[in-house]
Amino acid sequence: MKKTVFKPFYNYEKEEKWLNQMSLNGLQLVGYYWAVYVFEEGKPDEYEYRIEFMRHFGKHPENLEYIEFLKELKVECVGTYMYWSILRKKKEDGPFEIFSGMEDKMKQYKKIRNWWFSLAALEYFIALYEMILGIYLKNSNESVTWFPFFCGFLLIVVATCLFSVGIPLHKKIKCLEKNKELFDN
Amino acid sequence: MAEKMDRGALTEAVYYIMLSLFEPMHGYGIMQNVTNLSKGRVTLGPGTLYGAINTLLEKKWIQAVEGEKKSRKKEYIITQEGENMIDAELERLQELLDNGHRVVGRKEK
Repeated sequence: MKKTVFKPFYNYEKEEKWLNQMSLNGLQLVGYYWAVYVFEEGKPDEYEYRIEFMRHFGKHPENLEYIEFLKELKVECVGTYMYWSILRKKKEDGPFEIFSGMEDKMKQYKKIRNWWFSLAALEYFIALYEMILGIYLKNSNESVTWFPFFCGFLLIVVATCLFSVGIPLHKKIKCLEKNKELFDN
Repeated sequence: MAEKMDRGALTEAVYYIMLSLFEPMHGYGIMQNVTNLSKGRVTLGPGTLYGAINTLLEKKWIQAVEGEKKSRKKEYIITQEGENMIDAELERLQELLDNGHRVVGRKEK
């Protein structure tokens, strides 16, 4: 029996938690496409799920090589989306963390933080453009002056949401950086 | 410049991966071996193992085993340069241990 769920996530840690909760309930993720999750009924708690932000975009050859390498380590790639990949490993094959060591974990957090911050910056930039356009139209007595202001406002709201997704990661990185002064690993 | 950069402490992951590769081994073997060596304390994450293998190959501290290069499951082995790095690291660790024991041992008397 297959079950399809539409559920958009911004926070990949919450997404991970949700997938593992579903696994606990006997629903194992087998496919992903644009916020649509396809689950298959299976043994409860059979798999552990992890989400990784990969080195390259989409089907880049190095990503494919990495996914092949993961297979050797009994890790399966359930789905990919832009830089993201959803991975799973059978619980009986041992604990599953993608990165061991502080340095690697920090690199991963930084990549994800930068992803959200740069998306936010892009949206802020377009918002600014819309606002300038609005002022220009107003000065030239056009009738649709409200529209660019409306778009600009909407973009600012979205950008602020995107920015706020990166903040907890940013705090985590700062915390790890302090530890790094004391520990090598 | 590059030489100086090579004299830091090795990460636990890199140290244990290189120790494993005194015998030829593929990825999964390395992972299991590191868990065994550290009695379960160190579990290598697949992402960490992949990154470390690629960097070690680039540095030529390990190499793919001849004849296996085209097969999907690659085996790796340590190079002479890698062995030298391990020797230097052992010396460094020994110094840390010796000094630690000397100071702490003195206080216990």
